[in-house]
Amino acid sequence: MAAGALDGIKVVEFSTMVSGPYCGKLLADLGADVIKVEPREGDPSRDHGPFPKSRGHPERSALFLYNNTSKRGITLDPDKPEGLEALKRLIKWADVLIDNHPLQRLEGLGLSWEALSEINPSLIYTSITPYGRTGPRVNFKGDELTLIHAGGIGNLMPTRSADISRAPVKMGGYAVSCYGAITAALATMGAFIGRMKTGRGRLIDISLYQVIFTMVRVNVAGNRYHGTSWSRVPDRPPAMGRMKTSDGYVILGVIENHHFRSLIELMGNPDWVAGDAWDSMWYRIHHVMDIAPMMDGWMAQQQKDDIHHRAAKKGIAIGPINSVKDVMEDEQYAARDYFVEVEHPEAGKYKYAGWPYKMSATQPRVGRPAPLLGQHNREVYCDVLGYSPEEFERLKGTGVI
Amino acid sequence: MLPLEGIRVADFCWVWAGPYATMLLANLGAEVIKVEGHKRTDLTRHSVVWPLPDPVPLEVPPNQGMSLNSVNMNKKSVTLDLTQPEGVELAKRLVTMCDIVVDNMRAGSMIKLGLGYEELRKLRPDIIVVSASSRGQEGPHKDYAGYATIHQAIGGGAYISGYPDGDPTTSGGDTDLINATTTAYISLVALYHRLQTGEGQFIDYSQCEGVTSMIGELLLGYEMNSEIAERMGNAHPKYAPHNVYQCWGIDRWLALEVHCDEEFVTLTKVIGKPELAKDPRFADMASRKKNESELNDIIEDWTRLRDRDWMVNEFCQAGLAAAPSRDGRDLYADPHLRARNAFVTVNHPELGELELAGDPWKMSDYETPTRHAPLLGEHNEYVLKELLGLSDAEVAELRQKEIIM
Repeated sequence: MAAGALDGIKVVEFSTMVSGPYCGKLLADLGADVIKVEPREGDPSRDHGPFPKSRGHPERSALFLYNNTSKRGITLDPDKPEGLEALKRLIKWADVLIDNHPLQRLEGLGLSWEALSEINPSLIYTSITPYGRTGPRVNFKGDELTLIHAGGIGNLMPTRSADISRAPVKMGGYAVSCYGAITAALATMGAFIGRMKTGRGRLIDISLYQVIFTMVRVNVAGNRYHGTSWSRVPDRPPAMGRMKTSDGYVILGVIENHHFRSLIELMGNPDWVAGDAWDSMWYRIHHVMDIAPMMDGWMAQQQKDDIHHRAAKKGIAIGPINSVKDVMEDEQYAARDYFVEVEHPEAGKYKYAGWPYKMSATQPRVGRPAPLLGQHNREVYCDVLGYSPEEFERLKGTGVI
Repeated sequence: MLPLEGIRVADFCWVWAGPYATMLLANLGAEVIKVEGHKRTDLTRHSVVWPLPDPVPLEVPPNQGMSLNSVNMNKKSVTLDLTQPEGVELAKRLVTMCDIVVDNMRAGSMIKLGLGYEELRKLRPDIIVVSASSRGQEGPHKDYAGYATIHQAIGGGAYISGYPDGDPTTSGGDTDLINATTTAYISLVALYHRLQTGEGQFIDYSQCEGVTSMIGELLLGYEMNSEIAERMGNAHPKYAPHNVYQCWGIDRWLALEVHCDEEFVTLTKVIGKPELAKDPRFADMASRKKNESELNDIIEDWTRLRDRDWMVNEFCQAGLAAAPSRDGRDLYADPHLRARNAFVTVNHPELGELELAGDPWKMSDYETPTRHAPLLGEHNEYVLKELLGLSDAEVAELRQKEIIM
């Protein structure tokens, strides 16, 4: 197998659910040696679906299986003195510690940032919390729903909702956690590259709330300095946003004049857009509402995939609103070998989503399927941390593992 | 010292997804040189942000667009007309002095300009080139164009967002900014590999796939049981209450999510209805989920008569996860973001002081740089003379030929 870009980077992932684990996956699929530390009852994401045939089983959770590829997994109870000692040994071994527990969790164990950097002065400690490690809301709880609204993205959705008596709405999936995970992975790599020169570790403080806020940075600035309205109501004029087809929806993005000209041709040169006036973006902005019903009527007779290809081939920016099934069956994804087949000893063999990057020298891969609970206990405790077989058995006996 | 000091990036990006990727690298300390044709500048230089104000003004002078200023801080700007061979030649010379090249043009555009990876690696064998296109550089749809919301649609993010009885919805520019973050991440992964081995490489990034990789569990769920993930509004498959509630006033909302029985007991106390905790309809998570809409009505009866921020504070102090659904004004006014220096103040030569969103992270031994987005061609002299070693006469000639501005 070709070398992974991050071969040799040692990571301890003391994290649950999605934000920390997805950050760990981003590093692990590129070759980093990621050891996932789970409580004895397992990462709670093992209890979340989807599951095959909707039956819960801790080794068959799609959420866990996807977010934990390429890692080794151990169980460890840090609340027991021997467990804490083992965690400290792991931290000494590691280049990076990814932790998405509340601040008090590690500090309560005596593992403040100062203590961590004493154990390992070159440690990069990537801490992911709802609100960050400083500020008045430092101890407040937050998760997917609260943080997407807290940070401003929720308030902009659903777009083109004419009814403000209905609540703004979250994004589907684990958007907050993924946004946080990717940001954390970037900051971690930045710090890691910096460390190559200085040898010094760093504390990276990822506030999921602040991550979401920075994702609406342009809206925030436009709202304040250009006076643009902040609202989920307007979206964009028709012909620049979501449109209904006979079998679903597309997003149509017509900005430049030649795009609109192409669209007119596609629509069969109807009378209601005759004349050169429509060749001006400013004219269109002022008059598009006059033709919106006719455009909507035309689009309602199209099929989403067919119009996608016909319009895109004319240079118009357009895309169908795809379900997961549509994505799985998409010819472009297939042509790019986006999906990877992974065989897991308990869950079986499935196609998994891959990576948005194709790398000519160091292609990412799934090095191994997500770990079974405690699957790598023996090799990590004995081979990595240097416990003797007897000590290992004793740790098992005391319930640390 | 900033982590990426000494790293230089050539930035052939425009609009949001590319420029924000290189801005993140600039914030980490890289020297980023934004290359634009002065006849075809980054269109965000003078466009205003949607939705448009009314009456519609629509264009601001170059350098003053808020998109530009929000996603191009801490860079340098050089103008090069890349439709002219001399412009391309200068771009190539610049690339030989860079570690990373990033573009977000249509697939193949850099090759057509003579700036493709194969060409560039001849000049600098260890160069890292990252092309972040809409659908990727290969495949039957490689020539198709797209923007943020289109990538969100194709990638599967829009279909699952919105109300079950409503239309699917996109979020917006954040799709570009998260793709930018992933692009910056993979650029540094390649840089790390090069620092270790001396080997450069080409990275073909698909922005549609960038969306899909964030919903991997839902695709895997479909593989497992052929069930298509649908829209759920603000609800959760297991947890209840888990919703956004109307507060006193016009268009004021708060989000509240309860993940366990203990939190539910707390909630009933905060809203002054402790008897609900013993109500068999709401006794455990499964029954609350089953009777979710009744429960939502009871909670909203309480919230709709009260002040949003007061309630959020009560909930949070009691140990619950609650937050206002914030708009731009709320974010500017938020003391928590202030306390974390989440805004930076930049001094813009044309606009004066601007308060803009800063980094998505905080780091020890790190102070974020706060230079304004470069004016068009602001660093022409620096790039052409200091970096490329051109003489005054040569620069004057380029200007006269309109290769530079």
